[in-house]
Amino acid sequence: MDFLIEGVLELFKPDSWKVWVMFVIGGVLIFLAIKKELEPALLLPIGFGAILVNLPFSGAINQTMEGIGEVQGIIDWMFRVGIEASEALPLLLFIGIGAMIDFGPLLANPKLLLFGAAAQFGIFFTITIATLLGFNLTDAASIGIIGAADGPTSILVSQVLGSQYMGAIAVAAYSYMALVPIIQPIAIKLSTTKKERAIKMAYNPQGVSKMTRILFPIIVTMIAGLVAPASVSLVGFLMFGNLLRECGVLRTMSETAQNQLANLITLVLGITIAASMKAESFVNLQTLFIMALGLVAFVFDTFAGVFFAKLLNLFSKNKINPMIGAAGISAFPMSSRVIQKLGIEADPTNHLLMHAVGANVSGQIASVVAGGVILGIVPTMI
Amino acid sequence: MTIDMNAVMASLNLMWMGMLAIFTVIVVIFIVTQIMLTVGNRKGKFLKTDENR
Repeated sequence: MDFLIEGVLELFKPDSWKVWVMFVIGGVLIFLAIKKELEPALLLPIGFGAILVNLPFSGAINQTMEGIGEVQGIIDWMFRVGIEASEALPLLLFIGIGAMIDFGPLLANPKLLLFGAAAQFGIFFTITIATLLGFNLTDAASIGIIGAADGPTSILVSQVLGSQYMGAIAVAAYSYMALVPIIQPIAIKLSTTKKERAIKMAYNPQGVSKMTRILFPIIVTMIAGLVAPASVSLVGFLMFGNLLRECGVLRTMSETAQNQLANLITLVLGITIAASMKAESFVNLQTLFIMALGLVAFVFDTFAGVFFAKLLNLFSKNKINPMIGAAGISAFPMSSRVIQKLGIEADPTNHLLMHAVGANVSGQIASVVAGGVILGIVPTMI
Repeated sequence: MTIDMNAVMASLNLMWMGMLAIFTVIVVIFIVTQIMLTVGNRKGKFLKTDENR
C-alpha cells in the first residue's frame, strides 16, 4: 500500500522545497486573479496549472512509469502541439484580439501611430540590460519582448527563439499587464510635471469611411509583411480578426472570434503555459531577474512614449499631452484608462480618453510588429 | 555570472535596427492611412468615428 503515500513522501524530500514554492506561486496567482481581479482569464489557469504540473508524479505531464515506459500527460501534449510545434494557440488568440479592436480612434487621428512605435523602446532597452545580466541574446530578446505588453506575442517570440524561460516570461507579461494601473502612473509622474499632465488636446477626428476601415487591416498586413516578413503571422492573424469585424458581412463570425474563440483559446493557453512552470526549471535566480526585467521593460516603454511626445512638442504648434505617448504600449484598455484618470487628476476638465485609445491601439500594431522584427533580426545575429 | 560582450554589442545593434524597422513600418502605415483618409474624405462617403458605432 506504499503507493498511497508515495506522493506525500515525495513532497517532504529535502529537494522538494521548489515544489512548495511553485504551490505558493500558483496560489498567489489564483489569489490575484480572484481577489484582485488582475487578468483573471489568464492568471487563474496559469496559477492552477502551476499546481497541477508540480504535484508529484502528476498525470498531467509526461511521466515514466515502471513497467509501462513514458506516459503522455495532457498539459505537455497541449504545449507540444499548441505552442511548440505550431504556435497555434497564441496566433489563434490574435484573431480574437483583432476582432475586439476598434481602430476608429486611431484612424481618426493617424499621427497617434507614432506613439505605438516609440513605446516599444522598453523592449530593446531591456534586452540590453538582460545581456548585461548574463543572459544570451535569444533569452534576452525573449525577456525584452515582455515590454510588448502583449501576452501572446511574448509567448510566441520566446517559443520561436527557443528560450528556456517561457513560463516566467508569460507570467511576467500577464502580471505586469494587469499591474499597468499601478506601474504607469508612477512612471508617468516621474517623467512629467503636473503642468504637462494638464495639457488639453482638442479632439477633431477625421471622417473614416467604411472602405478605409476595411482596407486598413489588409494594408497594415501587407506593409508589415513586406518590411518585416517575420511579423506576418502575428500581424496577419491580428488583422484578419479585425477584417472579420470591419467587413460588416460576417457579424456572427466576428462575435464568435471576440467571445467564444478568444475565451476558449485564453483558457487553454493559460493552463498550457503551465507546462513551462515545472519547479526544477522555474524556481531559480533567473526567474527573479526576469520578473525584475519585465518591470524595467514596462517602465521604459512608458518613459520612451512620454519623452517622444515631449520631443514632438518641440516642433509642434498644437501641444500633445506627453501622457498620450505612454498610452503607446499595447496594454489595452488599461493604459488608456490610466491616462484619462491622470488627465482628470491634473485638471478635472481634461479629457484625453479618445487620444489615449488611439495611441493604445497603435501600440497593439507596433507590439506585434516589434515581435516580428525581433524574430527577423535576432536569428541573423546568433 | 559572466557577461558576454558580444551579446551586449549585438543587443545595442538590435536596439537601433529594431527601432528603425518599427518606425519604418509605422511611418509607411501612417502615410498610406493618411492617403486613404484623404481620398475617402474627398469622396465624402464617411461617418464620424464616434457616431458610426
